[in-house]
Amino acid sequence: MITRRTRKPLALFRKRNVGVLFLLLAILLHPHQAHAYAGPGSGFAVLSSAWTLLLTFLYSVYAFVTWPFRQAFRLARRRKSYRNAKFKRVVVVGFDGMDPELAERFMQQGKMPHFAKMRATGTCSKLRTTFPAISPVAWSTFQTGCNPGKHNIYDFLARDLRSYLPLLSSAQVKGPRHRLRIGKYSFPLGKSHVSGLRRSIPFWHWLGKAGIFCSVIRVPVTFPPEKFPGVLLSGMCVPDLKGSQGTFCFHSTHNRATTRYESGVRFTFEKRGSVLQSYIPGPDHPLHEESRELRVEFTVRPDPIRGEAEIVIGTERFKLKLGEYSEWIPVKFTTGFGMGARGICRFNLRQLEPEVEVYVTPVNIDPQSPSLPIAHPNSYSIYLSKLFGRFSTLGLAEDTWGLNEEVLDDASFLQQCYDNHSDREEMFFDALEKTPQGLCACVFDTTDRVQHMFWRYMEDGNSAAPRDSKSEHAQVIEHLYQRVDGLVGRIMQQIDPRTLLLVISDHGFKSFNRGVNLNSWLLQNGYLALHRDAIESGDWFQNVDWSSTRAYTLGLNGLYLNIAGREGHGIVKPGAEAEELTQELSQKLEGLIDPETGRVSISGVFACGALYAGPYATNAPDLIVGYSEGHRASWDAVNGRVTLKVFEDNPKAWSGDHCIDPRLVPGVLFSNQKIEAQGAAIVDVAPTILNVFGIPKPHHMDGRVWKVNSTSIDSTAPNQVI
Amino acid sequence: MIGIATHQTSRVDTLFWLAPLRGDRNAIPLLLILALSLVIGFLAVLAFGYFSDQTKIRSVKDRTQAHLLAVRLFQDNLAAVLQAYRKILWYTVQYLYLALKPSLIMLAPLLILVVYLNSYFGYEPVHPNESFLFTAQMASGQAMNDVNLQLPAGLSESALPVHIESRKEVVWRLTAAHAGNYQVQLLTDGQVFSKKITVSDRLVRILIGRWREHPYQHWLDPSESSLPSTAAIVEMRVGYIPRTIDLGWVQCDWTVILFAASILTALIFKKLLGIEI
Repeated sequence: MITRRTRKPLALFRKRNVGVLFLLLAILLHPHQAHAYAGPGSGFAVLSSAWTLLLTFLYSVYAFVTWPFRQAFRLARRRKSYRNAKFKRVVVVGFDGMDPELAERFMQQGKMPHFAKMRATGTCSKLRTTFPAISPVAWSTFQTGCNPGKHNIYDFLARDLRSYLPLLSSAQVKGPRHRLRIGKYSFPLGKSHVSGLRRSIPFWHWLGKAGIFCSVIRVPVTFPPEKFPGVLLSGMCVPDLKGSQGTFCFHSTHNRATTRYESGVRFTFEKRGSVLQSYIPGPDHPLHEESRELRVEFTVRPDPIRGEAEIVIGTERFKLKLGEYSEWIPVKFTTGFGMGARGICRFNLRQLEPEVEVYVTPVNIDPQSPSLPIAHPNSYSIYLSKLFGRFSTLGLAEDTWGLNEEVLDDASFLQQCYDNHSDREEMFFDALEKTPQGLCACVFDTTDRVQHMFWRYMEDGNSAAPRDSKSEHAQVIEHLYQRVDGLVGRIMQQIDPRTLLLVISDHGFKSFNRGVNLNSWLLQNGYLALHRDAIESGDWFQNVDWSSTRAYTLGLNGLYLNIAGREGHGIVKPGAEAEELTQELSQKLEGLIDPETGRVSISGVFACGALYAGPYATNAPDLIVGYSEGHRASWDAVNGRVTLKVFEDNPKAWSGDHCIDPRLVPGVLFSNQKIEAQGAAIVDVAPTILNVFGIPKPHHMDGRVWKVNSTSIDSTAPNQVI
Repeated sequence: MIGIATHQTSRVDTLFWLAPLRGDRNAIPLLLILALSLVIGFLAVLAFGYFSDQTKIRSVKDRTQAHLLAVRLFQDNLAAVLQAYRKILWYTVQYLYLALKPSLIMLAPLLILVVYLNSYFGYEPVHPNESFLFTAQMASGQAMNDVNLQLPAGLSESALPVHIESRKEVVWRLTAAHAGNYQVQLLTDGQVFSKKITVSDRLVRILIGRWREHPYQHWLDPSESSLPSTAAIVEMRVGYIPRTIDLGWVQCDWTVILFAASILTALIFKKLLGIEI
């Protein structure tokens, strides 16, 4: 907890101040012309409150005068909007990665009574996920009701066809087109432009068009936010202030050769007497064309005796106990000329002796003063931030790499997750209150992050050996599910029978023990070549000889052919040759045995031509590789690295995963109403919700409409077992 | 010769070092007020920051702003809008409560300062060769009939005194030949009472009257104590003209300028100092 100076507001009325009060009253009771001046003190109070009241009053007058007209218009429209609606409100609660098998187990153990109640009186089913079973893909399908061939998201990463380098698949930030160079400075003429790469139309746009209000919170792949008649806070894929998907900082007095972590940077404190100085790196300097990052310096004054340290950054000064997180601290990266970017970050005092170590979260976009659009309308993030305090805005807000790189310990990571989760809960319940009619959708991703990082405690023999004592964290995932159940319980208390509650997840979860480097396999089997003398490649295909490479893998599940005319140095002719190679690879990879375990590592290879249909199907990988349980693309393979080993243990804390054969990791579907949802898939959610509000399914949507029973629920009906 | 104190305005009575600059009657007070506003604004922000609960004020202001935004964001939802209005009012009351303590603490020194400064900026002194009124209010009709005004050299009566029976007042019209502080004396009922009259072209401290049992009299001018409660004269008053500052498009009382300029200064300093007001 942050240490701040606090005073009691009624301190003035202590005995010793009573005399002063009487004196002041006496002065006030002797009016004189000059006494009319009350000074800046009361001036501040009067002005500040008067300004607020004036604004409120003016807006009230406007609202009052225009209310009858607006209301008449809306009533007419709303009557039309809700005329065919089966429910007045649909609440969609997404728990990223909630696994049906675990949910079933915990329900049977009586640990998830509210989910069990839904199973007994409403609906409980598995929910087929997308190919591949990756969050941005599945949630894009959820919101558009389309297969990836229509929404264009196949993974977190896409590849640059010319350079084979990775690109973020969901959004792209482009600098201003023109710049004015004066001396060493280069002034941007115009603004940076953020464009979304997810195509098709989210279903809340259709609802909005029909006059149905929607509150959408943290649904993945909603960055940049698109305009629609409702409010939206972007989720997964929102970058940090550096433009990355999250770069933490670790500051230590111990000087090590390593300066970089995966998704993090290490700094050595500069000692100045008893004070340690370091800095937080920010975005690139906008006035220098050469890459030169902006910085915000901070100091740390450690006090090992008290077990705390005082941190000063900008105008903020606070004390942290050992292991404690700060609140979200605003930081401003200034460039001069009135330009700059505002961000927020949290500090965690990791160690005081023998070395001082401070962890700093990635610098999130400040929701109170966003440098990039993260909400629609823009004021929605400001509203939430003013109401509940600053909150994490980064898409992947929980710093999984901080834990992977052992900069954070299990407990600190867990605290970070639950702090974010609590913020999200507050926002969700506010949205629920503000949406008495219409759609309220929110995705909680703590379920995904915690399962990724704590699966190792759930099973014996996991290659990522528990770092803390197993008993301490063995029940983290169980507690997570119980917490989620408690949240659902509170939601159920706040909704009436005219509300349709859908609790869904985009995929399930399985163990990740063994990594498979398909690039290495392709090298060993003659499909990929390195330049002469190179035994391994560097990151992102460094040393790969594209003129002799026929296939490569990038990202989590995609396998690409090096097609002539499509890839920059493609050699495989499209058509028959490509078709033949696709079949050949499928046959060889399906059933691939891990020699060390003797288990099948790939249970299915799927040709994308058969999976996807739509205008963006050509951007898809050529094959989706479905790993079997316990396996996944290795960390090297994900980063486009070719090594000597095809199979290797996964030693990281990231020990659970879902980027495997999608048939093995379906999500969940729970509802407070009876739904005929045989073979339900995540792609069905959007057309079903439209149907619930009486809006016909748009032709381009691929999902089918479930039959939702809006009559009273028979609580004696037998439970549907997952 | 009865009672002329000095023809030169004393250093104490001139306001700071600018007073010798005789220049513009309007510009010098305006500059001084602006300079004082700068100092007052800065000190007020510091004091407000120190004596207030900054965390709570920030929180209350944030919530007020949030509900203002809610009115706009959820304008179709009447219940949400009404709730937002209710919350805005509630948080405004909370803000006023939180601002009460620092405001009250600042009020005392500021009132003292303003009352003191009003003796400089509130009225213009009498100018040489300009006629002005000197009024004495008596305790009884008898005293009014017996009163006798004795003028020092340099002051002269330019008309006969007027007796206003209903208010027990006698009014003299006087003229000063030169700048300076003059002591006029009123004799009535065997008692002598004096009053200082300031004649100057400079920005000087002025006390318009001398009253019976006035609580600030001695503090405002140690040389002029309150009239005793048994005095035959209730009040002596010089008809100094209230000063207005010409801003070009509007004539303002000096307190208005001080108020506006100090608030403006405070708003600038609060941002620089990171203090929530």
